[in-house]
Amino acid sequence: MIITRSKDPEALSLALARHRKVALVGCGLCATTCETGGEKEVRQVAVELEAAGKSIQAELMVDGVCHKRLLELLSRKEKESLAGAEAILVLACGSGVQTAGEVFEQPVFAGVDTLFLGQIRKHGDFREVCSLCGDCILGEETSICPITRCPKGLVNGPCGGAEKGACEVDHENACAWIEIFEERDRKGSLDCLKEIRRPRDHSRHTQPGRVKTSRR
Amino acid sequence: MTSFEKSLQEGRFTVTVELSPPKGTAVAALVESARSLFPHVAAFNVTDNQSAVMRLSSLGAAKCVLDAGGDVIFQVTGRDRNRLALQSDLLAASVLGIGNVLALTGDHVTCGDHPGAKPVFDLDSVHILEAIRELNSGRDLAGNALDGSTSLFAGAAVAPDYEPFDLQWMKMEKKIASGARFFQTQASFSAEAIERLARRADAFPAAILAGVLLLKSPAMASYINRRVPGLNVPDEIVGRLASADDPLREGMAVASEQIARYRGICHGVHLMTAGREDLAAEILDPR
Repeated sequence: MIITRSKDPEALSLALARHRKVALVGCGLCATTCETGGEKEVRQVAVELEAAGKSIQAELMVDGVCHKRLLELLSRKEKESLAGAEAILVLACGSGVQTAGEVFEQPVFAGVDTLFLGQIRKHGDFREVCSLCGDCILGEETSICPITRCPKGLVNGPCGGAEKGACEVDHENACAWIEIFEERDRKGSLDCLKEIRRPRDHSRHTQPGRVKTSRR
Repeated sequence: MTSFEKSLQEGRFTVTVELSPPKGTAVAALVESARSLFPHVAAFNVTDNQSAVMRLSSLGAAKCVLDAGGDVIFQVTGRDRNRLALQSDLLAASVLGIGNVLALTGDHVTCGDHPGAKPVFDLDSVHILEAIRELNSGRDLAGNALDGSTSLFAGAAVAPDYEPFDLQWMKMEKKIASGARFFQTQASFSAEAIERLARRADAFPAAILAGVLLLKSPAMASYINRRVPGLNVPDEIVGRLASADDPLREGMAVASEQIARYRGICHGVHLMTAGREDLAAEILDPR
């Protein structure tokens, strides 16, 4: 799940300074779960922008702003209401914002900040566990990703800085390598950790990425 | 062979002192600190943007100390440079006559004065040691042949107080397997932890230099306990400093006592005087 965080309402008004008539597009997928771009949040942002003097032309939802075909369908269906908009504010991740940029005529604005690929631990509690490195090493050795959960991304951890099991960079987090060690100890496979791991091959994920599968 | 390596080979109790490059180009004080300690110190560690605070690079500062006549240990971290730049700098070190390297992971950028910088960590300390081993063998990390190889004596750091100790030890074995032949420990105030480390390391081809930190005041000790990762000053020592008439001299006494204790246990000590290099000679040889 892509985790997003709402932008400050004042910052949004400032970004939209040159546009009075605004349409809002929210996302029924990740942004709804994060409570940053669901129907409720779209309504709330509409209220805030109206208070700041904007004229809201439409409040639209789509199940995946990043889904270009769906967004094109929406854009055709809502042609009339969108016609009056000078700008589109998108409450969805950067993938959604850029798809909107390809579909709509008007300038599009990001209404949220895209943070990370997250695990949903429980309602409202999201943790980054995967950094989309393109070369997944999870398996025999560990089910805890050191590249993501260690701020230094150490594949041969630990560093020397943990204090009482807490990461030196953020004391709220446990040292990922201590967690890996304890997990392997519990599962009786500490020997796996003795092997020296190679440096990451960053060419496995060169930005911007692209995958094209063939239709079956 | 560098004089530092020679000192270890000959079984002498080897002393290294840590020097911090200036935040700028004013190197005179650095060079003078080193010069004043020449008879007492086998080699000077020159730190690499220590604690992620931007300073004159360890490569440049090491060259200054080398030119002044001292042997240096060029500290290299994985925080600021990718594998290309690290290998380049190791080649440069060799060309400039620097013979000893300490390979470190590095403190994270968030604890320094440029917290918005991009943390690199392309290579960890184990990989940096591998890079040194490869460059010494006439190859780079991608397997390409070099036009002129290096001849670097490599070492690494270890945290004796780290728990679980077995995990830190596992990493240490990886470093030894990758070519580390000397270890300078993080400062520790636990003789038991240093002894535990020295005992385990005995069967391995690696010299241990125990890290000794000069505590200049009770405030410094408290700061360390609050803010410095992986380092802890026991209450007993904080108490000694707090109740001393001259806390600085008390701190020097604490350091001297530690050094005396480590003589029978380790191959040497790595002294960190936190800006008071002028006191190093007396700490090493108390009146």
